Amino acid sequence: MKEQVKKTGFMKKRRQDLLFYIAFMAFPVIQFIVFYVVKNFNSFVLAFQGYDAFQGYYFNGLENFKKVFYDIAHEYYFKTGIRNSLIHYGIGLVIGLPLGLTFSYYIYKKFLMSEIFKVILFLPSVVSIVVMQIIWANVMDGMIPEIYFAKTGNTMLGLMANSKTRFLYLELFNIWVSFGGSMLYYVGAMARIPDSLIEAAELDGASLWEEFFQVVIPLTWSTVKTLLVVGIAGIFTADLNLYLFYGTGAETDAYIVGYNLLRLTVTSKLDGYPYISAFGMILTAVTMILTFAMRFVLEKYTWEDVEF
Amino acid sequence: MTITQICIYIFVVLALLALFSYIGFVLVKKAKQARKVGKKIFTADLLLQSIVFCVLLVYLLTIFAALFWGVMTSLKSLGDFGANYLFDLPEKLAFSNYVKALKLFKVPVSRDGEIVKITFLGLVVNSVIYSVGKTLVQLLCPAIVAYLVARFDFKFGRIIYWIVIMAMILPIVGTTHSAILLYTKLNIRNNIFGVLLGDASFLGMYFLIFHGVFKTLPKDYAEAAILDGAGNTTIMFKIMFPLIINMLTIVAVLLFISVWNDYTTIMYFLPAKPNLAYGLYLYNINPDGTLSQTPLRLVGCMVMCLPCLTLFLIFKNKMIGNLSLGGLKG
Repeated sequence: MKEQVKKTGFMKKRRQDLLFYIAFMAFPVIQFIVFYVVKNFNSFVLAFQGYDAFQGYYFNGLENFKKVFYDIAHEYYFKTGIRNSLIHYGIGLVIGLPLGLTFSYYIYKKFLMSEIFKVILFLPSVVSIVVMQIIWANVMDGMIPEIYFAKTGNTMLGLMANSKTRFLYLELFNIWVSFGGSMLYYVGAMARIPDSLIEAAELDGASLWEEFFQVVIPLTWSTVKTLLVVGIAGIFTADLNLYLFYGTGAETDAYIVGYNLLRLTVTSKLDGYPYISAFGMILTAVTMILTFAMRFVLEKYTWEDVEF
Repeated sequence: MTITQICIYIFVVLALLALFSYIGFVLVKKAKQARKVGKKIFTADLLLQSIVFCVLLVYLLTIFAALFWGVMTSLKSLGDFGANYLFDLPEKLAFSNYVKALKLFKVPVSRDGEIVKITFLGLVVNSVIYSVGKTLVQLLCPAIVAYLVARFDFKFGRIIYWIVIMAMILPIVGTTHSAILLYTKLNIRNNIFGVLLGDASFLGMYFLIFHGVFKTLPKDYAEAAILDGAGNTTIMFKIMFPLIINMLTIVAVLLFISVWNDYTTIMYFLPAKPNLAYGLYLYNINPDGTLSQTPLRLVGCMVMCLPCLTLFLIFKNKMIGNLSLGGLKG
């Protein structure tokens, strides 16, 4: 009898939980279906369609894919875009990541002026990118030719106008404004390391170098790994702020895949959408392969996740 | 050299002097402390620390110089800016620029085939409505779904968790045009509240952050509340959410800052209801006669920065060092 009452009470609680669960889960799930599933399915279908003004969208097989592959093989801006995207990702990996981790460690250890640096490093993420770009373009593009003119009496092209320095100029801007976001997560992960571990390392006479590589990095690696894996998608979505600098009229030698996608989306009408869908699908497939490869390498050849 | 310029130079010199005195003071203090406790000091460590310090100092100076230049240029009279082109200080601080720019700042947009000019106040109103609305929906949706997934052991929760992980590590690229078509079909393009519906997604990094926090919270509070007769809604909103109020505040501030500064979403989905960021972007890319001068555009920049800077300065200690992200399990 007692057991039955207990069971009935449990069932009632379970039913109440279920009702509550459904009530609060319903909207997010419907929203997900409409704005994620339908949107992506629509894009998938579009990839196999053509458009004309009379009959609207119609099935045209793999024509869009053929056109995208043809453009990748023959169009200068496509090749440049892919090359620049990979360089941009490489720079983020080789320069942005180590610098971000080092600066975060400096702040975590509360070294000299870390409170001020904390604010300054995050400041470009607080101030609108539009504002930073206006200031950057005026100072960098105006300053260097002006100094050059004052020193030599000769004129020179600005860094953005010069095709040889354009990509570097955009990369520098990107690095300059981009520490804040990842630093939030790195410092957060470092702050979770138990003090006792750091104290033990100090008592064992570990140098900063040893503490950083043998304690801090292994213990924060799961966060770094997550950001690295998620960041793979950025190879094809990052636009290097080209749209901010140029609108839709960037020079082709500075093209990057993310910008090309953005430019196509802004400038295309209904007849251009199937091409973008096919392009997006190809990029998604490549992203998937790269993401799995990155996960495999990180899991197999780097530190394991540590629970603490 | 005018009195204003002399004052600014004196201010900069004093600020640099104060900075270097502070550095010296802290270095001496640290060395004394280390000596007192007999701590081992590695030369390589000091060298490493000094190098990182120098790099950070250079970075600090570039950011400071850029923002200082921005503020100063926004205070240059138009003639002043033309005559002493980029790097001279203003002859006289032209605060009237602010009044002038705010009056002139009008963004032409196309609404139902007609060109309408949105005033500065209109841009601010759009910015506030959209930023507050999007912050709320993008804060509450992941928080609620993360709570449900973390605290209830229904199998559906595991599916949701996997969906979030998969959407994060395998995002579908190049679908914005499809979203534009969808919004147009649903007749919610250029409708702030309709676009907010589309923004109310639980996917993304913040879901993982909230999920991690709710997973680690002890169940005792909820169990005690159940014994006191509290229902699930009370437990969620009155007990569990207040327990993570710090986290909610940090995420809300981060969201507000990013939405306030976002111009691309507006460009795609709300081009007829521009916010300040998009308005400024339009001016920057297609300057018209009235606001094409850099000082006036920088006035817009400075005004736009104010809310985010204020929020950041209030919450900076909470924000940095308190946000942690777990690994991607599975």
